[in-house]
Amino acid sequence: MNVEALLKRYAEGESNFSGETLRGAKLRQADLIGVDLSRCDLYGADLVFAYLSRVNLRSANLMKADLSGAYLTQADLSVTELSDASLHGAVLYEADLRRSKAAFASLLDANLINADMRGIDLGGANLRGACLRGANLRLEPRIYEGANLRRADLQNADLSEANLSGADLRLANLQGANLRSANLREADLTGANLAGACLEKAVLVETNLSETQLQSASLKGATSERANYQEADLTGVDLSSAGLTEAKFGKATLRRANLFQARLNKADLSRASLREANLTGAQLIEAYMARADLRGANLTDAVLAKAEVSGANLTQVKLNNTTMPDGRVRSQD
Amino acid sequence: MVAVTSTFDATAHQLEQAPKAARIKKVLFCLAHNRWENDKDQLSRHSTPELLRQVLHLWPSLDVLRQALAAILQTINKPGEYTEVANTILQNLAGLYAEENSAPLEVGASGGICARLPKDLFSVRQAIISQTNPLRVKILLLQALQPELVGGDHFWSTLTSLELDDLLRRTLMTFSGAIDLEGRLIAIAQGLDEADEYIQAEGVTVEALAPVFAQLTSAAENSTGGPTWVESILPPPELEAEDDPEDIPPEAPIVDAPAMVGQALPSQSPPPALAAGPVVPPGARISDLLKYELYMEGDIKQLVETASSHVVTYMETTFHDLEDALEQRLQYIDNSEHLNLKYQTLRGFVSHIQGVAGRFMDILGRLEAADRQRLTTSDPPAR
Repeated sequence: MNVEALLKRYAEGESNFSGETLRGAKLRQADLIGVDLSRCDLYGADLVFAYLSRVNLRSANLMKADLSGAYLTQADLSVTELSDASLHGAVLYEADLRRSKAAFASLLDANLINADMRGIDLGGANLRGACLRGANLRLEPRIYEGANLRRADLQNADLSEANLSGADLRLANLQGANLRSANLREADLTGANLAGACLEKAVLVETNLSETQLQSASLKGATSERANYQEADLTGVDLSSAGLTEAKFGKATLRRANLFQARLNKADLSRASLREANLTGAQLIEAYMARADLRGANLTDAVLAKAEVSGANLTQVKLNNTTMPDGRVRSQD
Repeated sequence: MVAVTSTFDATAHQLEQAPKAARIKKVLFCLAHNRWENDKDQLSRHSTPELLRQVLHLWPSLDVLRQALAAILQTINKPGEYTEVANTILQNLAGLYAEENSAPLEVGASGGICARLPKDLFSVRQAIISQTNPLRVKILLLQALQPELVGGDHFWSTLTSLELDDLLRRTLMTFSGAIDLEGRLIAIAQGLDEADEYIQAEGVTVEALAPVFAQLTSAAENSTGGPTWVESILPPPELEAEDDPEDIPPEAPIVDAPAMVGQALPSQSPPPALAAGPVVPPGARISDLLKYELYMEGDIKQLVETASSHVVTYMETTFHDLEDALEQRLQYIDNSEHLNLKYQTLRGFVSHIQGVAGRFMDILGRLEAADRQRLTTSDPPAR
């Protein structure tokens, strides 16, 4: 089917073009609002600034298509092939992208607010500056796998309030991203770069953050029980008031970290570097701190009752109203 | 345009080997990321070539780079030493730009705006992205910022290499305010295919940026040349402490306003148009103050009348020219159609002017509200 025929039939009132072959079709700025293009082959099509709101593109092939600036509000893009497609600055507000395959696609500065992205494959995709506020990418056992964002570029992306529970974010670039109040429960962020990211009030329960770059990130008030931060670089991180009970920080770097009033009960801080960290008012009951480096740390009002500190370096730590492992309260002279 | 040659590697190497390489890197970082960074760990994560590439992308000509450097120098508490660093950068980068104008930099040119930009623009971006087409906004902004790229082969590749965030930051650093930006964007939008869509995108963009421009303006007033006339009768805002003994991080306002508590009228920097009026010393009598007030009222009224009369005269001339041009084009069209087209076009012209004036009024309203909000939240009431 050629473009002229499609547009003529659409103008005459027809809206069902399901299964048509439109490879490489030139549909720039075309108004196709509400049409059925499901299972269409639109490989390499030019759909720049096309009006495709509420279009049904379910199971369509849009590989290498150019959808830059396209209007896809509430469009059905479920199970759609979008690998290598360009969706630069596209409007995908409330779009249905369930199980779509968008590996290596460009979604630079795209609007994905409230989009349904469960089971999506965005491996290696470019999502710099994209807005995914309130988007749903959560794993649902036996129904949707966790979204694949492995090696995706999410620098400066806005993921606030997005649900990324169970998502695969290994080696993703999340530098400077906004993840405030995002849900990352049980997500895998191994090796991801989160330097300077905002994770305030985020849910990071049982999240794998091992070997991540979290320098200068803010996790203020985050809920992060049983999370894995092993060998992560948390230099200068803000973890004040964060819930970190039973979290694992083995060999992690927490130099100059702000752990003011953090709850670290039963946390594993063995071999972690906490040099010059602010642990004022922190709860470290039964924390495992074997061979931890606490030189110059501030432990004012901290509670270390029953903590294991054997082999820990406590040179020049500031003790002021500090509850020691043996239960005695100590202050420096 | 930036030259893509092997001199890039040589330049990066020279900057890495320069005597003040660490400071050069800090300035390059500020140019690339619009924020000052003192943390060595953070800086070490960015290589000089990477920063250089970002700088060349963000600042496409030596002139704009010079302006950006001048703005940064305003925020440093060792401007003398950093002027040398800035000049080293300019001299080294001159070879990477097609143009060869590398006149040395002078401190005190303008701005410090890099320092005053908000840390993140997530709320601005969200306001834009949720209300309009992000790509249209990017096209408008890039055309406004780099008109030389329009119609060229590099426009699209530049657009895809830049984030909306980069363009918004550059816009905030380049334009003097929302009205200035609005004028430019409307002109661009009208020349584009699907102009209505671009006009809508322009409206959303200006509206989202207006409060940030207002904040930048007020921060600029606080940081240079003392307080404004209105602010001078109020106590000065509290100053934030400096974090770093060596370099002032950009978040800290560079404020050096003299104490003005309880002072009735400005002792320095009155608005230029009023400078010639009668000078009332502090502690003046009520009758003197009344006289001053009346003088001001009259003077301001006259200013407005003069400015309006300039605009009206210009409009009359433009209207006249448009009418002439129309008559010429419509001379072979029959009477009734001629009349219709003529009045329709002239009405369109007037209504467009009305629209623009209306937008100016809207923006003024928003700026005023933002300014008033700032005054009531940051300053205690006047005594």
